[in-house]
Amino acid sequence: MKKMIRQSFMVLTLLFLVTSALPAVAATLALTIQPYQICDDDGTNCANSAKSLFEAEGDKIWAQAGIDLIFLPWITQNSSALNTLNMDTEFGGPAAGNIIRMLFVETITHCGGAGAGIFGCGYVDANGLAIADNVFSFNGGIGRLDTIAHELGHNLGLGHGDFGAGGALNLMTSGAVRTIPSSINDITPDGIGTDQLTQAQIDEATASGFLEPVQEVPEPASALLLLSCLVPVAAFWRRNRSND
Amino acid sequence: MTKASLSRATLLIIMSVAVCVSVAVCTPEDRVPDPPAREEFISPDKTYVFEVSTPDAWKTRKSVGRLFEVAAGNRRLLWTRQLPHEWRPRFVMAGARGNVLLIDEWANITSRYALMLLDRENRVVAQHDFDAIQKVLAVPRAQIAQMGRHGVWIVKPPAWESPGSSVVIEAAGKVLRVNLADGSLSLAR
Repeated sequence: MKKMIRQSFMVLTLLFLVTSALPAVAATLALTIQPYQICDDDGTNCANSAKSLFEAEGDKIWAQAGIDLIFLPWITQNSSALNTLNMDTEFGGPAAGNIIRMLFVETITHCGGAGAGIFGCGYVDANGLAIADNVFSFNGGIGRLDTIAHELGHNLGLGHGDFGAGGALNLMTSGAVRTIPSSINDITPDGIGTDQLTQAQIDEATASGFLEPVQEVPEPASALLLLSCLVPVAAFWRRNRSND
Repeated sequence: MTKASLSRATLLIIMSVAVCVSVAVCTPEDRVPDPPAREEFISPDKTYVFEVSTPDAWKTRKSVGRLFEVAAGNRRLLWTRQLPHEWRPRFVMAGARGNVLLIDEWANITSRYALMLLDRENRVVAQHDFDAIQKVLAVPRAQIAQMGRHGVWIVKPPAWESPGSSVVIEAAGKVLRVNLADGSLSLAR
């Protein structure tokens, strides 16, 4: 009886250790993105010189849908035509697998229609988005922190007025109305709560063919913690067995 | 309408629909419509006029403010300055003593320039960011943003409480009072 209790205790301890080593909130889907830094034909005037991706902000926003954004290493491409998107230039194009093509360009003056001061442009439910340099000078240089996440929302099938978009605090609301966070601390569920997604938006986005299931790998720190706890448990077990 | 023109019109409609249905063409943009290129704000006693304009058709998203004094139908320029706001202030109230209250920014952000008071001599008398507004309103940030209708925090456009000397702004179910003499904030109700 005593032996049974001891063994049950050890099994429970083991279970506790294994489950506590897993991430508390795990993303279940991944969206892989290939960023392109576009320069002029002669290699000058490269867009997004700091190569900013606002990845932390994007991850926080898309965590609402259990989506993790994975950025591949940068590719630089020389094309003056792409660097100043002034026509409805086809910039989506085919991509390898489900990888989203994300172009960083100097200016966009045409996106479905002509317009000055366009920050970003994305195909709806199709591959390809472009981000203009004015995103990074916005708000006194803080940047328009949610434009990348917003354009990715278009790629995942979301529009400006469907699935519950339209309010100032919704990610997919048009730029004329949407409140832009000045820091990651104002992105939902924190601060003023910008860039929210409705359940209908989450359902639509997570049904996108661009997403792939995440293979969870325990972080090195978690794995070490687990190992450091397992060693004494194993030793205890062995000692008990030899005592028996 | 002839049969031929009718079929042409039908074809045009079908083509337009096809263009919009084609996902490769429907590309919604992230864009903020530009404010008017030039706008004037006149003090209640019509003694001062504050003009906000863009020097470059909003290319730099910056504006220039000019304060004029009006006497005997003539305008005299008192000062000019570039304004720090993204595009320009959302609202402007020109006071009786040449004080100018710049309210919020055209961009929908938690502004560093939620309120900025300039005097007749082009000095910054007071400046309050969004956090300062929240402190006076004493409600959570999220509640302010949920109720904001003009930008992040303003529910209704500002109004004169005492014409030319104090302004009231409705936000988060409360009314904020701004004293144009010193830029101090208080709750009107």
